[in-house]
Amino acid sequence: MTTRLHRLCAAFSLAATLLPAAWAQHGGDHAAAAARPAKTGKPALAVGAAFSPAGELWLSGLDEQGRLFVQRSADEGRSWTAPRLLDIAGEKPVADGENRPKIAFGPQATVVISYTRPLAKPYTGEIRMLRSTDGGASFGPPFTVHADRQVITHRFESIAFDARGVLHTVWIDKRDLELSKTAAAQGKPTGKPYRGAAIYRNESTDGGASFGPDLKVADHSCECCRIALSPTPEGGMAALWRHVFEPNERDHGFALLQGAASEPPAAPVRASLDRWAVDACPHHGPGLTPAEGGGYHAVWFGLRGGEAAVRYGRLDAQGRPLGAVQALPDAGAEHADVIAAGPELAIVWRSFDGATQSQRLRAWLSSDGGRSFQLRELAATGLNNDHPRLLRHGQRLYALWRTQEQIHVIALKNSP
Amino acid sequence: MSLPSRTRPEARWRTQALGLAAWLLLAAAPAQAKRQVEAFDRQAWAQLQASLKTPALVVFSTTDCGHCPAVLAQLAAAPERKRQRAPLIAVVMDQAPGEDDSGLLANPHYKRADRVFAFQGQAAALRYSVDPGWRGITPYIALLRPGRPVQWVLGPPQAEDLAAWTRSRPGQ
Repeated sequence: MTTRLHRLCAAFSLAATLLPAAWAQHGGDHAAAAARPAKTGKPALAVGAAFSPAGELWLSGLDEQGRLFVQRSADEGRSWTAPRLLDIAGEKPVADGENRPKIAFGPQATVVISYTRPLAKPYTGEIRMLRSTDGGASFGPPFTVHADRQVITHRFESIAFDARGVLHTVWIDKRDLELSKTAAAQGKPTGKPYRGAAIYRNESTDGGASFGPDLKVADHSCECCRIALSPTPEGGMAALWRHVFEPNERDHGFALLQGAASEPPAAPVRASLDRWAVDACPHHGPGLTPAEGGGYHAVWFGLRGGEAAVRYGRLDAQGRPLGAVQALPDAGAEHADVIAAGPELAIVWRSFDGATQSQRLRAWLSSDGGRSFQLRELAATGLNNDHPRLLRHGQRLYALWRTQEQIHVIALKNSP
Repeated sequence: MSLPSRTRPEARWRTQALGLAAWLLLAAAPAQAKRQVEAFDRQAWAQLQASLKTPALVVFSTTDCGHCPAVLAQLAAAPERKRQRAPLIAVVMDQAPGEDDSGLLANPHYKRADRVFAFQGQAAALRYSVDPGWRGITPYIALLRPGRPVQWVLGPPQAEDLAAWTRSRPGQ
């Protein structure tokens, strides 16, 4: 009997030893995790915004169910129409800080809305667009903007109409990376591994009814940072993006969006000189706006000499650094945007305040084209929030910030 | 034959005992196999470190981070990790628990992780709770040892990072 009991106890002992081990392998705070509040999805707060020719402020974004909507305000964001859902046949767009639905107004009552639709494989996507020819009263069904249809990365698009009415779409594309990988797998000589992704673009001269071919802007872009677009003084469009320069430095590339399909892309101009060597995703795209008198104002995030900061600098007309670079007066600054109207220049960013556990929307405003700045506190929230955006309507500048509580629209003046 | 008459009840006990043990093990097996996406809230980082009994590797990631899969693969296969039986923990920052748990757990990159967390709450506050100086760049990797300060690495850890993690002792 004693033997039987010993054996039974041994069996229990074995099980008692193994059970907690099995649980422990899964996680010591299993019960604590289970007791936490009901799970909810993260709100997709990232929005696109633009003023219509009539002066209404339009938003494009996702509602709590992940459905694409537009919303309008005729009084600079003090009141809004109810969100209007757009029919995108059940597609699930991405709306996260660096990659959000965008809206742009073109000539002849054209409105386009773009978004990235994730595809079945991780890290893949295609860029979709809706088009209206009646000022946004109605939109046609979504279509894919690029000619390439591989199940690969076509993401982080930016769209803008230039002064001539040409619609520019620019995106991050991994077709060249995939080609390089395939060649390597087949034992073909490929040289060094392909760095990063590529920037591609196309143009539409009929407001998004049709598109020209996919054109490569540059090889070796960073993979997950937004692309900044800015009108050029000549009526065209310029782009600024995080690039992976030789040997492995994540600075910023600048290019004018011009040239035909037959022309090989020119090497991008190096617009920042941080020389940040890292194999990681900053998730921090730059901002770009034309400067009065020529060239551009730019903001970007990077590590320079080991110091992480959002920096402001001037670029010349070719995108080359011009003059001194200044770090924003906030060590926690992130996701900055920049815009100018004549000598008025605005930079906004968000910054987490550990003391109040809130995120602040802050601005650096200049009335002399960036020679001097005033720091302004614009808003704060303790909840989730989007990256701040800047908008221009005529000569007036606005900051727009969607938080979980509300949509802030703040007219920017260089005095409290 | 006396032997069967003597051993039959003992064999029955043995069978019952082993059966019970097998049942308990089988009952435990689903708990071991079933992974879930755990909530990474403002207390999670402190709790994770406080509950640490073995070295561990934590990879902060996003679903669109192109550099993260290679780092998860590297660390999953790292001999330094295997020798120390250090769990590999992934923390996803751009997807909340309950948003697409099955998709996240089925993702081949996150399958390599022993535990998968997802940010729950204001992302900036959660990042601050982990490291006030961290600006959301991914992959951000914490090489943890009980009783030791966190060893941070941005991007793929180098051999010397893992060697330092392996060598470090409490108080060093």
